[in-house]
Amino acid sequence: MTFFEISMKMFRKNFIRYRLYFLGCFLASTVFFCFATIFTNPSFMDGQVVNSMISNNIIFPSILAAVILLVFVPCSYAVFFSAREQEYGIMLSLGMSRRMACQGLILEGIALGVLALGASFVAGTCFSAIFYAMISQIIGITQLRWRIPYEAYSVTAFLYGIALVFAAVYTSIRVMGKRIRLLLLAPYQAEQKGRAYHWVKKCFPGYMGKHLLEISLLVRHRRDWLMRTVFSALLVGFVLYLVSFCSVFQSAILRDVENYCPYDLAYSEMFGKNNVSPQELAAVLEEHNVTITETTQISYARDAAFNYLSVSEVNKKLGCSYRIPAGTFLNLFQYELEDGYDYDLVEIPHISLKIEDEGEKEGQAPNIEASLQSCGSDVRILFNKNATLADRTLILNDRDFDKLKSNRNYWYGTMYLFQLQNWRESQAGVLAFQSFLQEKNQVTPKEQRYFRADAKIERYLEARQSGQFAMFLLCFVEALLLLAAFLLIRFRITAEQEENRRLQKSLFMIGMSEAERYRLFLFKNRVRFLSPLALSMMFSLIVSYKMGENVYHSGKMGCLASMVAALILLVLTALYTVFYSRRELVCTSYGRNTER
Amino acid sequence: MYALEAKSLFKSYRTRGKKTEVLKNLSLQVKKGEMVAIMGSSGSGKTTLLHNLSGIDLPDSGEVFVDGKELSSFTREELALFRRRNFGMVFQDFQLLESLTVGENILLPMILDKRSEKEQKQRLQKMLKLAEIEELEERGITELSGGQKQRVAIARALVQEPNLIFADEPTGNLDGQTAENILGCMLELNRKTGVSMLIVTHDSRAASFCQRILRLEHGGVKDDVL
Ligand SMILES: Nc1ncnc2c1ncn2[C@@H]1O[C@H](COP(=O)(O)OP(=O)(O)OP(=O)(O)O)[C@@H](O)[C@H]1O
Ligand SMILES: [Mg+2]
Repeated sequence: MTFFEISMKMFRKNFIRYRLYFLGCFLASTVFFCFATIFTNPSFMDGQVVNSMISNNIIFPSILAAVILLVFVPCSYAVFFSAREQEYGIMLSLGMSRRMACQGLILEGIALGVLALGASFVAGTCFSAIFYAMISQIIGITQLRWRIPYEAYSVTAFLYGIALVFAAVYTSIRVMGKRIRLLLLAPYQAEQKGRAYHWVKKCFPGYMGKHLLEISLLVRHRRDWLMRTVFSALLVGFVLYLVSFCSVFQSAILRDVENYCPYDLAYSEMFGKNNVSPQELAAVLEEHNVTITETTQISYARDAAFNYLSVSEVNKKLGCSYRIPAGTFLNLFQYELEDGYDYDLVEIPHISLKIEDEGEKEGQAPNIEASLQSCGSDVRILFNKNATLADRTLILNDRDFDKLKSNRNYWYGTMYLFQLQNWRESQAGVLAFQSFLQEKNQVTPKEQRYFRADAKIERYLEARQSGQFAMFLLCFVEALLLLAAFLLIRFRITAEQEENRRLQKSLFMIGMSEAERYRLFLFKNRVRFLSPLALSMMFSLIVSYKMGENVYHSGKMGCLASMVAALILLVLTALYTVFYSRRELVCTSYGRNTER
Repeated sequence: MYALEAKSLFKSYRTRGKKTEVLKNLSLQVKKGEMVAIMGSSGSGKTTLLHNLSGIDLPDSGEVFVDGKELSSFTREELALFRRRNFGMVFQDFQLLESLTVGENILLPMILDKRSEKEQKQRLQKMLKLAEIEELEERGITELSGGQKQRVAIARALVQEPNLIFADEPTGNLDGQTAENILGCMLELNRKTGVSMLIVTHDSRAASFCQRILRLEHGGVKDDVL
C-alpha cells in the first residue's frame, strides 16, 4: 500500500465529515455564479436594452455574493481542517514530514473544492436559466436572453480560485506552525474559561452548581463563538433591515413618480420639433379612449444651463404666487427633498444675461450683458421634466423675460402640460402619441429620444418593474445572507461533534438519561442559534426605524415588517433546534461510533 | 556514545497564568541496547518526558542527543525523517487512526517511508503474530477493546524495527499473561536487534523486564539499578 492509497482511503472514509465543507463551497459559488450570469450578460448591462435603473440593482447583491464567497470558502476549509487535525498529528508523530502533510491537506482540500466548483457550475447553469425565466416571466424584462454564460464560468472560477488558494495557504501555515503535541490534543482541547465565567461562579455559586454542565458547554470555545455570534447577528440583522427596506421601497419609488410628475403628460415644442397642437394630441389619444381634462401652455426660454420662465405666467398657470422684482431671479429647485436622495441646493447668486437694450442707439453692439441678482430660491416641483428642458430653472421678472425673447442667443419653446382623465389606463394612448411625435418630427427613433413626451404612466411602469426586480434580487440576497449566518453556526457545531461524542459517552457512563442529555443539547443549540437572532432583532429594530423614518417616512411600517420577519425566523429556528438537537444526540451517541 | 542522552531538560506548562514545572533540570542517559523503565507517580511527568525526548514536543531548555546527534540541530523535515526511521512510539492514548483498519494502522510508518509492498506484507504478518492480533487485521479501530488497541499501537511502534522505542504504559491495559508475552517479545527483540527501549510503566513486574529503572520525582530522575 502506498501513501497515496492510504490518503485516498482516509479521504473516502472522511468524506461524510467533509460534506459541510463541500456544501459551503458549493452554495457560495452557485449563488455567486447566478449573479455572475447576469452581470456578465452584455445585453443586460447595456443601457439601450435594459433600463440602467434596473441593471444597477444587480451590483450590490453581486458584491455581497462575492464577499460571501471569499469569506465562506476559507471558513469551511478551516472546519475541514479541524476534522483532520488529529489524523495529521498522528502521522506527523510517526515521522511524516510537514511538507507531505501540507501537500496532503492541500490536495484534499483543493480536490474537494474543485469538485464543489464543478457541481456548482452544473447546478448554477440550470439555476440561472430558471433565474432568467423568472426575471422575464414575472417581472417582464423580456429583452433579456439566456445563453451559455462563458464569462460567468471564468469570473466565478477566478474568484473561487483566489478564495481556495488563500484558504489552502492559510491552513498550511497553521499545520506548519503547530506543534505535534497540540495537533494530537486538538480534539480534546477546550478553551480556557474566561474571567466572566469565574466571576459568575464566584457571585452565583448556587446557579453555577445547578447549571454547571450547560454553562460549561456554552463557554467552551467562547472566543470563537462570540465572534461567530456577532458576525451572524450582523448578517441576520442586515436581512431584517432589507425586509423593512423592501416593505417601504416599492411604495416609496412609486410615490416619487407621482411627485416628479405633477402632470400626466408633458412635452415641449422647441427647435422646430414637437410642433403638435393640443388638438392633434387629443385626437390621437381619443382613439385609445384617453381624454384630456386639463391643458396648460407655458412659454419658456433656455440656454445650455437654464430654463427661464416669466413670473406672471408661472403664477397664473401653475398656481404660484411668486414676487420677483425686475433685475432679480428666483432659483427654482424641482426636487422632492424627502425622497431619500441628497440634493445640491446651492443658489446661483447672479447671472449675466445677454439682453438687447431697446434704449440703446443704433450702431452700438446689439448684445450687452445685463447682470441679474438672485432674490432667493424655492424647492417645488412645478412641471414634469423632459429631454428638451435644461436641468435647472430660473424664474425671471416679466420685463427681463421679455428682453430675452427677441434675442437669438436663447432658444424658445412652449411647454405643454396635460392632465388626463385616468392616467393609469393611458399606456396605449401615450405609446401611440410617442410614435405620432416621431413621425411628425421626421427623426430616427434614436434622435426622438431627445423629444419624447414625458408620461406619468411610462415612468410608473418603469419604476414598478425596477422595484420588482430589486425586490426579486433582494429576496435572493436575503436568502443568501440567512444561509451564510446559518452555516456559520452549523459549521462550528459540526466541528465540535467529536467533543460531543466523548461528552455524551461520559455522561452516559455516569448515568445521565437520554432525555436529560437531549435537554442539555437542546439548551446549547438554542443558545447557539437563537442568540444571534435576538441580537440581530435589537440591531435591526434600531437601524430600520431610523433609516425608514429618515428616508422613507415609513419607519413604523418598516419596523413592523422586520419584526414579523424576525418572529417567523424565530419560530423556524426554534423548531429547527428541536429537530437538530435530536439529530445531534443520535449522531454523537455512544455506541454509534462502532457502526461506522 | 549513548543511544539517548538528555541534558538538563526544563519543561513547564502554563495554564491560566499559573506555571506548572514538570521537568526540572532533568538529565538521563540510555546506552545502546539498553531497556530502561521509567516509573513515577501519576502526574509526575512521564508522558511529558517521553514527548520531549522523542521530539513530539520541545523542552523549554536543555538538549536531547540521539546517537550523539542533537535533536534541535535537525530541521523539521530532517527530524521527521529521522524519527520515522529511528523511533517507535507507543502513546498512552494509542493515537490510532479511526479511518483505517488495524493492518493499515500498523503499516502506516512503513507506508510513510515508501517501503515496498512485499516488505510491508512480511512485516505486517510478523507484527500481527507478535501482538497476537492476527484475526483483527481487517477490523476498524473503533471495534477494538482497549487492550487490543494497545497491542495495535505496540505493533505499529515495532514495525519499522526502530533503534529506539518510546513506550508510554504499553501494558497498562493488558492482563498479566498477555502483558508478559508482549514484554517477552520486546525483550527478545531487544536481545536480537539491540534496540534501546524507554518504557513508562506503573507495573513493577513489567519494570523487572528492564535492565534499569529510572524514578521520576520532583522533575528529576533517580537511578534504581536492579
Ligand atoms: N497540556 C497540559 N497543560 C497543562 N498541564 C499539563 C499538560 N499536560 C500535562 N500537564 C501536567 O503536567 C504534569 C505531568 O503530566 P504527564 O502527563 O507528563 O504525567 P504522567 O507522569 O504521564 O502521568 P500518568 O502516569 O498519569 O500518565 C501533570 O501535573 C499534568 O497535570
Ligand atoms: Mg502519562
